[in-house]
Parts: sequence; C-alpha cells; structure tokens
Amino acid sequence: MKLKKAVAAAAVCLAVLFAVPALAADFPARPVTYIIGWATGGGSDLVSRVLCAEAEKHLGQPIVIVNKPGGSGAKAYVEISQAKPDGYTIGNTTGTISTHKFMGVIPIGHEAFEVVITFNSDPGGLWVKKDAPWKTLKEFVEDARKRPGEITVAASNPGSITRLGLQLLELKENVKFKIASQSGGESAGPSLVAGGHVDACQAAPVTAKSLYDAGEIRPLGIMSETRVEAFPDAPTCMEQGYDVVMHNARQILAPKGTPKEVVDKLYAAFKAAAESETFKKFMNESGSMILTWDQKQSAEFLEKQDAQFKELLQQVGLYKEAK
Amino acid sequence: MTLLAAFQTVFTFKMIALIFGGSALGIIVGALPGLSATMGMALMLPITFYMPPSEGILMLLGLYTGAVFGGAYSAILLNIPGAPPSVMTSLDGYPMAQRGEAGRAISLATVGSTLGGIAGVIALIIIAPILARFALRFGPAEYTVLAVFGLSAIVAVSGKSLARGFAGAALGVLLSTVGMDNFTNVSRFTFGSIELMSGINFIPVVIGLFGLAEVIAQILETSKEGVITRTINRLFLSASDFGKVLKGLVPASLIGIVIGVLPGAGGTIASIISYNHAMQSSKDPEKFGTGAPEGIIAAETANNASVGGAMVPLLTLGVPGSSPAAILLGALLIHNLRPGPMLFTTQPVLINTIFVGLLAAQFSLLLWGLATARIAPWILAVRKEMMLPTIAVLCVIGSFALKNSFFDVGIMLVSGVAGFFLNKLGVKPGTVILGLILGPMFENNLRSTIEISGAAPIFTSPICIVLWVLTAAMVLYPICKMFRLRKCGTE
Repeated sequence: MKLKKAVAAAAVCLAVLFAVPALAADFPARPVTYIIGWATGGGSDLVSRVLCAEAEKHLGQPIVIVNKPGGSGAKAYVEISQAKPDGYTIGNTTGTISTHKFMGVIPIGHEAFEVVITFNSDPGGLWVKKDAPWKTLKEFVEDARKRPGEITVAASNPGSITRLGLQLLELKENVKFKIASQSGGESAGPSLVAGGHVDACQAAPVTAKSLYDAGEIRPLGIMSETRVEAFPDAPTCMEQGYDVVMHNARQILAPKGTPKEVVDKLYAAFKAAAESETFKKFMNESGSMILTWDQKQSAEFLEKQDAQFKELLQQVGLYKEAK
Repeated sequence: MTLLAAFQTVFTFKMIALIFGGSALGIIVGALPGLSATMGMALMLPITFYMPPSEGILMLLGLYTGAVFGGAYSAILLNIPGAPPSVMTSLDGYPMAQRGEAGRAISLATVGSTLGGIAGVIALIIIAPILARFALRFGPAEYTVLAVFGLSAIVAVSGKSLARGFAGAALGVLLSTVGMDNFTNVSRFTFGSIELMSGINFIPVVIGLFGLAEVIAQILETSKEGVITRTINRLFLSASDFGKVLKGLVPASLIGIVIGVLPGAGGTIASIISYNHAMQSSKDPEKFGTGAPEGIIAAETANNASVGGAMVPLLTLGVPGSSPAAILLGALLIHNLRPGPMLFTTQPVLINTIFVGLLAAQFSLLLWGLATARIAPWILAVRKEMMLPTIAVLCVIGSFALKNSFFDVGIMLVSGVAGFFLNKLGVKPGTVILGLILGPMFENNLRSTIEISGAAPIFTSPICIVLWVLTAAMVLYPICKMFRLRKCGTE
C-alpha cells in the first residue's frame, strides 16, 4: 500500500516536471537567470543590476544575477550559447562579442545567439589634463604628426575596445602615439592624466566623468556620431572633421533557437526597463548612453561592428582565426 | 550647522537600525569565506534604489565596514581568512585561538578595528582633499616601489627561515603570472583554458592554503592522538591588552589611511605593511606568528582604517578606488548624486551624514564584536569529527561562490594539498599569498612605467625615494638589531 502510494506520488512529480516547461506562451513561469561575464562591482555588473531591477517589474518574474567572470566575457558567452534555448538563461555582452572570435579566444560571436536588445553604448574618447597645451583634437593630432611616438596615451591592453579606438585614430590619421597599457583596464587612465603621469588617455565618457566634473581633465574628442547627452560641451571627433567612431555597446543575449515570442517578451521588458526613470537617471548621471535597439537593429549594428573590428585587428596584427 | 543636521539625521531609530543591521549583515558576509564586501553590497544595491539616498548609502557603508571586520572571525577561529584584508589576522589570531584565547583574539580585533575605523573617518573628515591630491600623485612608478615595500614584509611572515620565505613568495609570484598578459596579449601558462585566461584568483588559493591545509593537518593529527577537545579561557581584554591596542593604534591607522586612499591598494596591502611595521618595530619579533596580540592589532586596525581612506578619492574626486567604492558610486548615481568637489557644496548635509554614519558604523563593530566575543569561540568546542568536515564544506562553497566556478574549487583543493606540504617543509603560506598579491602589482606597474618613460622615475620621483628609504629601513633594521644584540651578548 505504502509502496503504491510512493510510486503514484513519484509519477505525479515526474509528470509535473516534464509538463511545466516548453510552453513559450507561459513565459516567464519561473525566475530568469542573467549571466554577467564580468566581476561584481564592474561596469557591466552595475549597469545590469540597475537594468534588471527594473526589468523584473515588467517581466513579472525575478531576474537572478550570476557573475561568471572569465576571459572578458568569453566564459559567459560560451555558457549562454550552450544553455537551453527557452529564455530562462540570458546574459549581456560588450564589444568583446566581436573581438573574441577574431582574436582566436572563442570561435563564436553574435551569430551564435538570439540578440534580445542593445541597451547601452559607451563610445571612446580622448582626454587630456586641464592645463594641457592642446585645445582641440586637431592640435593634438598635428603635434603627434610632428613628434611620432612621443605623446604618451594610456589605453588598456592590446586588443581591448579602448585600445582599438585609439589605434583607429592612429591609422586614419597616420600618426603614432606612445601607448601605455593599463592593467586595470581603462579606468586608471583618467587618474593618470589628472596626476600628470601621461599626456592623454583613451576612455569612455562614463569612465572619465568624475574627473571631468571635478575639472581635472577635459575632452578632445568623443568617438560617437552625436554628442553624449550628459556631456553637452564635449565635442565629437566627427564634428571636428575626424571620421573616427568607436562604440562599446552592450546587448542582451539568449541562446540560439529561443522562440521568437520569448525573445519579444524579453525585449519588451528590457526596453521598458531601459526607458524607466530609474535607469535613465542612473545612466545620465554616469554619463552613459541608453539605446533600445531591437533584434533587427542590433543585428545590423553587430554586422557592422564585426567588419570594423576584423579590419582593425588585422591592421594592428592581432587577428587570429579561432580554433 | 550642517554637522548638527547630520547628527539629527543619523541618530534616529531607523537610521541606526539600518547602520547596525547593515554591519551585522556585513560581518556575516565577511566571515563566510569567499563572500566579500563587494558581493554583499552588490546584492543589496537594488534595494537601495527605493530608499532615500542617505538611508541606502548608510546601510551600504555599514555593510562595507562590517565585511572588512567580519573576515577576522573565520581567520581567528578557522584559519580561513574570510575576506582578503584579514589574511594577516589569521597569522596570529589562529595560534592565539588554538591556545584557548579565541575570545581575547576577537576582542583585540574588535577594539583595534573600531579605533582604526574611527581614525580613518576622522582623517576623511579633516584632510580628505589633501589626501586626494596625494593619491593622484601615485602613478605606475610609485605603485612599483610600493609593491617592493610591501614585499619587504616577506621578512616578517617567513618565520624562522628567510630562504624558505623567499621560496614561498617566488612561488606566489610565479602563480600570479598565469593568465592573459596585459601588455602583449600573450596567454601565459593557460594551456588554452578560458578559465585560466583571467589568471589564478587569489581567494581560492588563500582558502586552500590556510583553511583546507589546516583541515588536512588536523585529520592526520587526530588519527594519531585521538580527539582533542580544546579548552576555552580568557574571553576578555586585560588592561595590558588594551594598552597594546592603544600603542599600535597610531602607526597602524596612519598606514591604513594612507594606503587606503590609493586606488587599487586598499585594506589587504595596508594590513600587510602594518603587520610588517609592527613586527620590525617590536622588541620581540619572534613572537609574531605564534599568537602575538600586536600582530592582530596591527592587521585589524590598519584594514579598518583603510575604509575611511578608501572613501577619500570617491567622495572628493568621484574616483572609486576599489570594487566596494564602485558600488557606493552606483548607489549615489541612482539618486542623481555624483560624488566630487561639487557634492560638498551642493549636498553638505548628505556629505556630513555620510561622515557621521560611517562613524556610527565603527561603533556598531564594537557592539557586535564584543557581544560575540563570548559566544563565537564556543565553535571551537565542537567535536573535530563534526568541525573538520564543516570547514571543508565551507572551503568548497567559499571558493565556488566567488565566480560560481568549479574550476576555482579545483584550485582551492590543489592549494590545500600544496599548503599542507609547504607547511611540512617550513614554508609559511603567508609568503605565497604575499607573492600572489604583490607580484602582479609590481610587474604591471613596472612595465607600465617603462612603457611611458623608461625606468628612471622609479629612482627619481620623490615619493619613490621615500618608499625606497622605508623599504631599506624595514629590511636593514632587524639586521642592525641582531648585531646590537650580539654585541651585548659578547660584552
């Protein structure tokens, strides 16, 4: 009797286990896991936490954040690509989704995923000390032309988006800077400029904003098409006649094969979150750009980004076919 | 007037509850190996979005303060530094607890942390702008020599054999070279593994070398001698202990504040340097590492003093020098508050509220620390058959929690076994950790200096020269002392 009951109970349990998932219309029926491929407290981490706190309200289910740092997002990309394509495992990118596959780090790029949304971009920018001799990007570039390899610019490690932005300027203008690597990424750059240790640094406005607000450093050119909202006084490179655009955008990825309905639901929730007052306040104060590109717009952007990074990496000698 | 308003804001039931609650949570997070201040704060961050700014910030500050202190519990009771800044605490805290004086060790850590923390906040209030200017003067060259200065602590932690100490540190430096090289983009010793690309994280290594190695040692010891139940006596501080705290307070706080101000240095390096200083200036340095109260005081006072220091670049320049500071920055930004010189003029009450709240957080340590100093040591009375597996499980969870990675659990297991044998060979695990922390700081900054301007600034910058002199003093002083003693002996 007891055994029979136990068997029956087990059968019911199994039936429930197998019956619950699969239905895209019910999505989300349980919490969604959001994988961040960077450490707690970093840029991707803070932005994602603020965004997810808002997106939860629209999704109707909690979003559980899991940090899996490793290889500038590489580890997380691989894990998301291998997760069950049901929308319950998602995560965010940076520009490394395009650079990794061209540097032989991992064989996959954005084409191995369903891209839910592009929600933010941080363009590159060139910054100098408040009392530096160069007033405009033109003066800076012309000075570099006269003294090749003498002006020191802090710019992260080779192959980083930060460094590639600076090298794009070098290649387009045929000038040469003395580039100094930073082990801590681009965040150290503005402090090094303010302390007079280097002549300039390449850093996104979001990284430079504190010392810019404090009046310690000033921008020579931002590498976006239009001015960044939080920096109305910071000119872009383009408006000074330099065709240098370098974005480091963040997308949200779902595994390839995630049903369209599910991706659409996720898009709606994250779009609403990106447009929320809380997120806007946070991003504006940080000096970051908000985007709400859908799947199609994101794909177009990522194709362009792939082409740009592939060419750049070939030119700086870092291109490597992934195994 | 603003200060008065700040006091009125902080000293309400709700605020005090948030600060004390935050610090209690912080202590738990800090005490559990692998869970760090950063992680605890990141988890609480979304909650602060819906609180008024002063409330959210003060809760996070309480959590931060508590977490820096909380690591001392596991360091003292289990020989597992719960958080990186308490690595040095375990060197003397654990031997003292093994003598049956766990309560005394916790009390020493509590009083040291509280007083150090208060010193840090006072420095923050009085000379923050000056300290921030000072921090900006630290470039790659200065950090290079600071790493050398830190490495001089090998002398302090290597125990009897200096040669073995250097061997341990060299092993640590070697491990630190694993991963993607930031300057050439070449993978070093990664064997094609993505996991190894970002290097060997030192937290699983710390947990293994200290915690698991001790578990292995105790298992083997037990099988020989049967179960030992430890006695617990001395729960409170004596007057002479309190005198030692006061004596160690000034140098340890100064070191904590100055190092805490530097972005990228922080509590761990502050406690290493402070421990080294305390040992070199002590009359009987050979007691360090065997349960010397001065060792616990030096480490704990300095790492909590660094909390106030770490707030300096954040509040005055808006530059977060550490991960916890970056989260505080996020919490401020969400409320349209960007730290920096402007915040002092536009939000004087909030700034003062932060100061007063941080001060209150230090007192919460005193309350929690002294209240638990009587209870926590009874953990040691638990029978070993139950205790050892529990610690082993904690080691596994702690190393997994950091990055949600089984790979790190593997690193912890290997480090544990290695730590057991290193101890047998007389190599102190502390030296390996020193190499692992300071190796990359030295390498990256040295190469950065050379990339920018060649190696010259390392010997010509005024700050570097001062650091070289201090390093020389640290290394030469014990030798001079030895000669003097020898002279006394022959005469």
